[in-house]
Amino acid sequence: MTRILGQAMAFGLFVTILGVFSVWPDYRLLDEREAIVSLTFSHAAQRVGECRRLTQEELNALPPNMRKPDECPRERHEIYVEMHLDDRLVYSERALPSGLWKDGKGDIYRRMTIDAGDYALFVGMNDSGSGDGFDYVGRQDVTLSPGQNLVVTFDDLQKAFVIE
Amino acid sequence: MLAILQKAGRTGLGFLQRPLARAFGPVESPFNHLGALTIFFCWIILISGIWLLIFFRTSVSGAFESVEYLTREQWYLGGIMRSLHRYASDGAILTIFLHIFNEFSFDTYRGKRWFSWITGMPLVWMVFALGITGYWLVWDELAQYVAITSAELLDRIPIFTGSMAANFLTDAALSDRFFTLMAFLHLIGLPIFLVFGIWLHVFRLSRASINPPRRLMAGTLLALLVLSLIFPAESQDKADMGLAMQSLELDWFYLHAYPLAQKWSPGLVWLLLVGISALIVIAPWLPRQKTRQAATVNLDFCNGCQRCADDCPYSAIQMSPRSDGLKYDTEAVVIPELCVSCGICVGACPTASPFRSKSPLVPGIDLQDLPAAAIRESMLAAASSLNGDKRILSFACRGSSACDELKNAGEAFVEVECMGQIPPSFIDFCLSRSFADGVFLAACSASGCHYRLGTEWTGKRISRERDPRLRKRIDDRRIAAAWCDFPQHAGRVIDQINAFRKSLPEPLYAAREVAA
Repeated sequence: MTRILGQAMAFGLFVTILGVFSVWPDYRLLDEREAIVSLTFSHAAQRVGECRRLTQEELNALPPNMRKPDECPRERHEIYVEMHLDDRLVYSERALPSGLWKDGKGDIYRRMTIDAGDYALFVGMNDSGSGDGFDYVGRQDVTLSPGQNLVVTFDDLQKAFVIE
Repeated sequence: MLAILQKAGRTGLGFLQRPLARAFGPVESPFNHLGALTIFFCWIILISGIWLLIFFRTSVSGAFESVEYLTREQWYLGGIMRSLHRYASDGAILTIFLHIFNEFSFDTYRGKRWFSWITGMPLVWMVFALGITGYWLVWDELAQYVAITSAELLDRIPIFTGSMAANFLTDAALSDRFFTLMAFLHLIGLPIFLVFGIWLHVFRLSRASINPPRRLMAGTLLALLVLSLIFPAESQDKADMGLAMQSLELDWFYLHAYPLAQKWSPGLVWLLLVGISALIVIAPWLPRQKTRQAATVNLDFCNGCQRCADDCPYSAIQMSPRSDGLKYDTEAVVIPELCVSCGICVGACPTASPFRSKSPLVPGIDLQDLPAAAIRESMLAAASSLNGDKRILSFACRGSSACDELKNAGEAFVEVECMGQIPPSFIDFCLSRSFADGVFLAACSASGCHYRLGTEWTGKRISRERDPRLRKRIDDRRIAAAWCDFPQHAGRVIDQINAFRKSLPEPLYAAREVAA
């Protein structure tokens, strides 16, 4: 009888540990007055050099399946991104183009915890390698409610930031 | 340093092991079957998972609803299956870590046993991957958190281009195909590798314990069922990419590292996890265990009976066709790379008999470092020092706390590599020749046997269930055993010997002269 009681206690302790630590303690990700702003996109920056039109002689010298009219340098510039809330810089990042030849897209991904409230959101991107200014900018007055996930992306087709 | 850590580990485990062994008995104690219990949990996970799969829909809109249907409307079966699925998965994590800690504390992972140790590490990663992908499939807020954090962790690996985490920030970015992929990984891909991994893990072990005792299985299943009824597993709110989770009920068994990805960074989490895993993998060589000479076969005395091969816990002995022209069909061949020099083969050898008087004691298989003849010598020397009416001769496993204790108390005892190294004929020899009135075996417990099967085989040989059996002429009351592998046992061996002395029947009044 004592052994059965001991076994019941052992099994009871075992499943109690399972039951408790499978849900407890709660993990708090955000305070009640906080929201998330996510900035994420992949973008192929401008090439480091201008494309050059091949002459007819140069095209004739190429195999038929490789006759492209333009010859472009593969390498691309890095992307530089800044995000401001009410003129306060909250994020800046440089992203290198992917790939061994630095000819792929640069990736930006960042989730930021921000206090809920009204903000003037500004986001700018430079992809031309020029020293100052932004090639693309997005501006919007946003109201962040507690627990909201505001996502800022860049639409490559429209060449514009999307804030949703 | 290592010895201190291992002793601390054994002390900690002792607090769990002793009451468990008292409740379940030494053989059925859950600590004897941690690996097998993990596999039993896998069976529960598989069977309950098949039921869940029947009703699960692999789509963004269908995943959550189908799990809710199982949990709410079909609570009496689907809900219980879901709870069993979760709690058995959590149980597997618990038994896996106890298993690792147990092997570390008892130093049964170094030397020639490195293979089982390092092949266990991928299994741990696979079990975690299975658990994490399982939580992903429910597609509630926890799944959303798991998806985003897992993707952020994976994004940190430089082989991926683009941001995987970006796929989990808006509902529009998510497609049904993603659920098909996760279902494939969770239901087919990872389980196949897991089964292969388990096979590899026990590949070098003979008689690997795959199933726990039936009563332990029944009790475990019953306990999980009760937990599932009282505290059924439930989903959290449905995933909504437009919302950021504020608070979550986390399964800490699987997701304990995830909060670190937010507190620190995904890179640091990888560094921590890979660092710990790498440390565990190289642990068998930190430091390298001293290698002893493998057992050797003396063909002149090997009759090819196969008992040594049957009893070897590490499959280090094979039977091969006879090479010396003797009339027997086979001979034992030791594989030195697998032999851990435990001597259990010597205990199984019928030719390892101390009764020989005309020829030297050379068994068919023997250890070089501690041969049977040397044990016989020690036994006779120890016996010669015994006096009093109820003389007890003790055998103790090398390295156990009993050795120090017996030495300090001035008790006569014989040190052996493993209790399984003692052929029953040695006990017969002691008692039938009246060298002692009782034999005391200070052995490891069955779960803590340094060489896996030594204690079990010794028990079965003495209880005449396994060859070579103790002869029936021996009064069982003259043999006693005690566990001495946990530090908590220290200081108790002498008490147990004294209690055994009191319980002994009348002394054996025969010649006490120790034969030369």
